[in-house]
Order: sequence, then C-alpha cells, then structure tokens
Amino acid sequence: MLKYIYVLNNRVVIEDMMLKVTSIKLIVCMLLLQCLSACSTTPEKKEEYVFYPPLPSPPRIQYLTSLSGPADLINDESAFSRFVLGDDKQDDAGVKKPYGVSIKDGIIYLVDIRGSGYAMFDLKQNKFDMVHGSFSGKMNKPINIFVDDDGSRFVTDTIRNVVIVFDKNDEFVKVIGDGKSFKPADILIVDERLFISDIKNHIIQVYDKDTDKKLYTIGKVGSSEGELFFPANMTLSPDNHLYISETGNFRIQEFTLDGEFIRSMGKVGTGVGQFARPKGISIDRDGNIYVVDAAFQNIQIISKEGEMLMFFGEPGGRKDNINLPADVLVDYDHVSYFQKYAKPGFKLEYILLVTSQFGASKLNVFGYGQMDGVDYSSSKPDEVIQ
Amino acid sequence: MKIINVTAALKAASVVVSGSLLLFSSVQAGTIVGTAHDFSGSGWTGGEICVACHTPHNSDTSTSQAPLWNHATTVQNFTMYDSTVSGSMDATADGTNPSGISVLCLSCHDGVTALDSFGGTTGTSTMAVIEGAGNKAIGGDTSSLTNDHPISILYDTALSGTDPGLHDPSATNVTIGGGTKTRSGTIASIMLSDGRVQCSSCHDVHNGFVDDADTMTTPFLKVTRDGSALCLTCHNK
Repeated sequence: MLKYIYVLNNRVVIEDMMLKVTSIKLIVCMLLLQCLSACSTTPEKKEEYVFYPPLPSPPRIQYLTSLSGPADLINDESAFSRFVLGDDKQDDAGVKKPYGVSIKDGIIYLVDIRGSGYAMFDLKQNKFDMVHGSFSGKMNKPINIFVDDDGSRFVTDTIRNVVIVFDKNDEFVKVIGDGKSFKPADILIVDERLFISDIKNHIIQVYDKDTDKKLYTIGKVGSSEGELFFPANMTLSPDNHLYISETGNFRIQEFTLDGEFIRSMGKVGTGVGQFARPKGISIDRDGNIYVVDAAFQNIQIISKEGEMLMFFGEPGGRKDNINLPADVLVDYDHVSYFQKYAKPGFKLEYILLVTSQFGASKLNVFGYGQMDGVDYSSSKPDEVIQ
Repeated sequence: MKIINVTAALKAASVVVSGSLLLFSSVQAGTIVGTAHDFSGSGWTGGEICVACHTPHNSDTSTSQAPLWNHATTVQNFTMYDSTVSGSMDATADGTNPSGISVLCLSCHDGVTALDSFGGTTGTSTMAVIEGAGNKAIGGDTSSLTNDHPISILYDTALSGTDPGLHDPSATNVTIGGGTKTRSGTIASIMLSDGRVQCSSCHDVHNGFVDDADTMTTPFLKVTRDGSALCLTCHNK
C-alpha cells in the first residue's frame, strides 16, 4: 500500500544524465551553473519529459501535450496568432468541465458538461469549434459522444435523458428516447446497434440505429455477477465484446454484444487493481484494458487476462497532471499529429486521450511507445509494476 | 431514485419555498422517545425529554433558528469545508464558522460542549466523556469539518446552473421519510434551511421524517443510503 502511494506521487522524469551519487551530482550542477553564467545570460530552458512507469523500468507512456481550448492549437512559432487570440490558455472559449472524448478523421471531440456542448479540435486545420445545439438539439448536460462512420455525432444528455443526434455538419437530426424511460451515460455503436448505458435502470439499452426501436437490454440492477449498478462507461474489445465500468459496483464486467455475461474484474478498495470510482474505459489492440479511476485520479492498465500491469497519471498543478479524470481513449490513427511532442528517440505506437474535469489541462494526450536503445526484453510489457 | 416532475415543481416552487421554511424550522411533532436524542433517562435531565434543548421560559433568543432554546451554544472555532479543501467546489461557505441550525447540532456534537450544559448551568458530560475513545463527535479535538460534507453553504438554482452535477433545488421534487411518515416537496423546501445545506438537510433531529428502510444504523437520516439514494437526492449523477 505504501509503495503504491509512493509511486503515485512520484514524478517520473528522464534526464539525459542519470547520476546516483549526490556529491558528484552537486559538483556537476555547479560546473553547469558556472558554464551557463559564463557562456550566456539567457540559458535555454531545459526540456523535461514525463514518463511512466518510473525509473528504472523502461519508459512506456509519455505525457505529450494538453488541449483545453483554441489557444492550444496555435503553432508555437506563430507569434501573430498568439497576439490575436491572446496568451491566456484559460480563456472562456475553452472547455470548462469535460467528460467524454472521441476522435475521428483528424478531429477530437470533447464533451463539455459545463459548457453544455461538445468541442472539436481539428488537428488538420488547427481549428477549434464548439457546438451547443439549439431548440430540440440543445444540450443541457452532455456526457459522452460517439462519432459514427458517416460522421453522425451521438451525444448522451443526463438532464434531458435522451441521446441527441447531429449530422457531420453539426446540424440537429433527432433525439432517441422519450426523456424519462432511461438516463443515458455512455453510448457505443456497433454496426446497426446502439448500446446505451442507462444509469437510471442500471442496464444497457440496445436500440436499432435506424429505426430507433428498442431491441433488448443487457443486465439488471444489482451487484451480483452479470448485474449492473451505475454502468458509467463502455468500450468494445478487439474480439467485439462489451466492457462496462460500473461506478456503483467498483468493477469492470465483460459481456457479449448479445448480453451474455462473460466475467467480472476488480472490486472496491485502494489496492492495485481495485477501484473506487471507475469511469472511462478503453482497450488497445492487444486487449489491454485502460480504466480511469476518478478517486485515485489515475488510469490503471489491466491485461486481457485480468492482471494489473501498471498505472499512469496523477493529480496536481502541472500540465501533465490529471485532476478528476473522467474518460480515456486509445487511438492508433492519429499518432502522426503527436509524434512531434515525444522525446527524441521515443517512437509512439498509439496515443491515450484522458479528460480531466478539473484543473488547467482538460484533455491530456499521452503516448505509448518505445525508446530507441532501451532494452525492453528484460522487463516484458506485462510485468507488474508496484 | 426519486421521480422528478420538473414542470409541476416549477409551478409550485415559489409557493412551497416561501411557506415551508418557517414550518420546517419550528419544532415538529416527532418521535424522539427512545432515540439517541432521548436523554430522559439521564440523571441530569430530571426525567424530562425536551429540557436539554428547549425551555418554555427564559429561553435564549440570541441564537438564530433556535426555538425556545435552552442549551449552551458551541464556542468552538471550526475549520470549514470550503474551496481551499476542495478546489472543485463551486458553493461558498457562510462565513468562517457554521451558521444557522448547524450551530445547534454542534452545541453537543462538537465533542467539547457538554450535553448537560443547559438552563444556565455548565455540565461535564461531553460526547467525548460519555462515549469515550472513538466517540462520534463532529470535528473531534481539532474542530475540523474538512472531512465532513460541507455545511452552511448556499445551494440555489444558480449553483445548480454552474454545476450540472446538482439538481435544481427549487425545481426538483423529493420525498423524505418512510412508511406512513413521508413528506414531499422541492429540495429547497424539504432539505434546505434558509436555502443552505445544514446538518438538518440530511438529518432529522426529532426523528419525524426518517427513512427506516435504511438497513444500517440510521443516524436520523431523512433518506435511505441504500443505493446511495441520500446522495442522489441532490447530486445528479
């Protein structure tokens, strides 16, 4: 337990020089200082990179950058843009309290509970936009978003208690639900089926995407295996199974898309692999499961066999920190936009988007990868870090 | 989960809010007999049940929201649960110490003020003395309320507008109590005191409208904790 906290609060920084003997370190520092003061009056700020897991384990996950509002899309060299749009990254135009995140075709969709809408960070055009909807399409408490293959946006709203659908141009199309029979937290589309996690009846509602007809439900309220209580978030595994995080039952459950219970993982507690407030969930191509815990304020990674692998992220005042995190998303298709933030030599394989409901950084982008020249064979990726 | 009829509540809100607060701050015909608040068996009450808190004559009129008040009021300086404790808290505490009806509760539950300090006499039976180690005094020796749900905070429609994680207290209907003793109304009318969250928002000191469906030891709770129902009365999760 103590070890766990120790690691959690440790900042992980990889420096070019690793010195373990304090006295030598001091001498080197003094020499460096002397050199700096002698050579230049404005010494260059040393670049710091944040990696997980902590040393001496080989680096796996790097914090890359944060997106909170339009200012974060500005190219750093563009002094003019900075002048026009201001230097304050906390501006009102930004996202206030995000929950769900989605990414498709170069656009990150970030649902803003408090700004009552969804923000779009267009990575191709460096453009920011915010959609609130109006009249029948007005979002009152949007939580999660799913962007379908044709660009349609499906947004859950837990005040209106409907799913609001917009087309690819952000025009309102329709609502799904009558506003009282379910309370939709998360939404997922698989082929022609809509999976809606319902935190009123504590089941998964399955609807036909085109006819809006209810097809069947998954689970029932309760805490036994196969039962659900506050099914906050869902994701799809590579083998097309539904994984559900339950804030009320402090665990993850796996079902087939037809609703057959497969297994349950985790229980309430503060130990490794246990949960206090599990929320966002995502799965990589190898089947590793990423679960946000809003109480621990980190993301735990569990192997597809159900073993705890490692965790990353911690609360605090730095840009890389995650505060009251809500959602996590694994993405392989947009790595190229973020490779430039990686430490030279650290080759990204996929990115991890993590939303924070509080703090300066609303959306943190992490990257999973490997560092050139580092031997990863001695510690397999599935090594338990604790 | 409570059924929320928003349109009906909106119509009724103004009437209910203005009328009910008065009613709520007055003494209710309760069933305090046999509860943890029944001190008639203690020697120091002389067998009287109301006297620890109330007196018909020469009551303390300087303490607000204290009808016919007879008990010494707490003089502790508390550390409030406010935005310095939780940076994500949008509500603001009413001053640097608890206000309103919560002061009355803390006049025994601070663990320092004696239960038998009433009617102008100073007693010795504090909660710490009576219950010993592990007593349930709020704040304990440090007078810190930072590990308790915030109290004396204004909870109004504007706050629920800022934080959609809270129901609109003026437009959300709730029911408290259980069995034959239930009461319904808006959050503002049923749970709040002068629009503020106080101890009385969750606890009914006189055991008038307590949800006995709670399978755990019920500390005078208005709504059961089963399925987090008490929390979800105000928190829109």
